[in-house]
Amino acid sequence: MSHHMIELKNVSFKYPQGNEVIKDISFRITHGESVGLIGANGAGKSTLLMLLSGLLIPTNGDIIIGETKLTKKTLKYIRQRIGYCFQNPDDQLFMNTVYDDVAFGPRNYGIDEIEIEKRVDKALERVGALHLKNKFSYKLSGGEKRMVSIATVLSMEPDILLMDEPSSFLDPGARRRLINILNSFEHTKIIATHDLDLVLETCKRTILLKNGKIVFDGNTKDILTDKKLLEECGLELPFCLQTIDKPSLMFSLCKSPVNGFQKGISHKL
Amino acid sequence: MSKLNYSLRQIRFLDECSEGKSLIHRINPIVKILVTLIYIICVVSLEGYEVNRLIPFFLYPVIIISLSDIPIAPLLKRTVISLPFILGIGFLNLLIERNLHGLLIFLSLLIKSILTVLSSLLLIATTGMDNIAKGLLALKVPKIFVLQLMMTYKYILIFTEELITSVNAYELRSSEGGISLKFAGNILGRFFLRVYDRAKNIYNSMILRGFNGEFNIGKKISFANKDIIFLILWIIYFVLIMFFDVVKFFELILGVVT
Ligand SMILES: Nc1ncnc2c1ncn2[C@@H]1O[C@H](COP(=O)(O)OP(=O)(O)OP(=O)(O)O)[C@@H](O)[C@H]1O
Ligand SMILES: [Mg+2]
Repeated sequence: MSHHMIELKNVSFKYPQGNEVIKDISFRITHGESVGLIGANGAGKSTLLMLLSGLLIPTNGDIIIGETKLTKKTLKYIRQRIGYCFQNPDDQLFMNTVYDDVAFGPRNYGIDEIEIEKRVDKALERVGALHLKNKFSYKLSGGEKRMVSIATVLSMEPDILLMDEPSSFLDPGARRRLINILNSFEHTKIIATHDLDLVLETCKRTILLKNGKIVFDGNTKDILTDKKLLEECGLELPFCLQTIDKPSLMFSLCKSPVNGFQKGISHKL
Repeated sequence: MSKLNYSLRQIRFLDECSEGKSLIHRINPIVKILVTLIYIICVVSLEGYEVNRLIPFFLYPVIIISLSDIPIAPLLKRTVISLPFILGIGFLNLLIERNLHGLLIFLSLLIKSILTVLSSLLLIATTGMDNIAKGLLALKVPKIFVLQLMMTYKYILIFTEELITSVNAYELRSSEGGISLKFAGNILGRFFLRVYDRAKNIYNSMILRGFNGEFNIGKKISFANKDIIFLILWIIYFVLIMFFDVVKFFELILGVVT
């Protein structure tokens, strides 16, 4: 299946009165792939995601989603299939109640209210926030807002999921739930984050950005164990790989997180 | 700082009220918009000096408040906030017309503004902005106006929150209370930039979720018997007190009885 494919061809972008933030980036993500997008602050992760969702238009190059080139004309059609989770959850909650916020997307696509209620319940259930359904959105805690903002995207049942820092504000339990959600989402997804352990657990492939350029694009295992390259790009080894000298050995242990972590510690002892 | 934080909690008062489940809340929004509109037109179109004829109009807010469980004190506070402007105008008139007639006009202006503001606040508090938007669209008000109204309303709330964040951040790091004039411009500038960003982001997240200017708030607007009765009863009452001097009528009856 190629309809959830994402392809970038020599994409560059520059903010008005700014310098070039994305510099000649090309990659191809096939259906069902999950890709981690990492890089230091200001590397251009959020900008790249905004380009993919059509919020920004590249100054150069083409973006192709499915078989459709992203242009002003196809924007509406493409956006229907993309779920974009903003870096700041406050931007995503603008209605009165949690229910209305989660229902906002589906309602715009003319789905009838009975079906919408089902979708809202399902989305909130998945993020473990069903008990917040009738609360006021602006009275939630930071983490609750994050979970609800993820639910607002899930309720649209998108084909492609773009997430900007999804694990910020979350407590360990909620973070674990997020990882499970991401792993159960069978379509294409791109996750921009500093949480390298999250990338380790959810993404097979990783793209590393530095100053708007791709420095590395390949197997997550290879990049997240490359201490030197990570540190050059303002990052460091994932937390669960930091305790031992030979990170690549640890990788398999980390895959089953809780066990891996305990084994890692006992191994060290 | 605490005072500002307090007002932050207050700012959503109307929204919170609008989630109520009382009889008035359940009335069709179109009906409530119409009744409020007719009410305001009636109040405004009474002659300037007919103060006593305004008295029966107080019945409307009193009944709505008592049937909808909306706390009175915060509602009145919001009404009073709008008064200084009106008072200013009335006062100017009083300077020109320094007699009983001028005083009556001043009084009626005051009462009229209280009644109209109060009734609009009650409409929002018992209906909610989203429902009002839906009602206005159903009444064939052009989409662009409704959109303007909704966005303005939503943004005002968000802007206030941003302002409070900016001021809090400043005050936590400044030794003296209040904002010194030297930094006020700085804070204001930053505030506008932040507000601009927030507004843009929120609009973006709306269009990413398929927003196209249509307000789909789910609940279908349906007419039940109680809506029709509500509408008809109030229209009859308004017409009655518009065209008959009910107060005088009672005075006459009282006169006959005593
Ligand atoms: N609206 C804007 N106008 C001009 N420049 C901008 C704008 N937004 C971001 N930039 C610049 O673009 C660069 C990349 O920003 P971006 O937000 O994509 O970084 P990021 O990788 O998401 O960082 P973070 O990890 O902090 O979220 C930064 O250097 C930033 O200064
Ligand atoms: Mg970012």
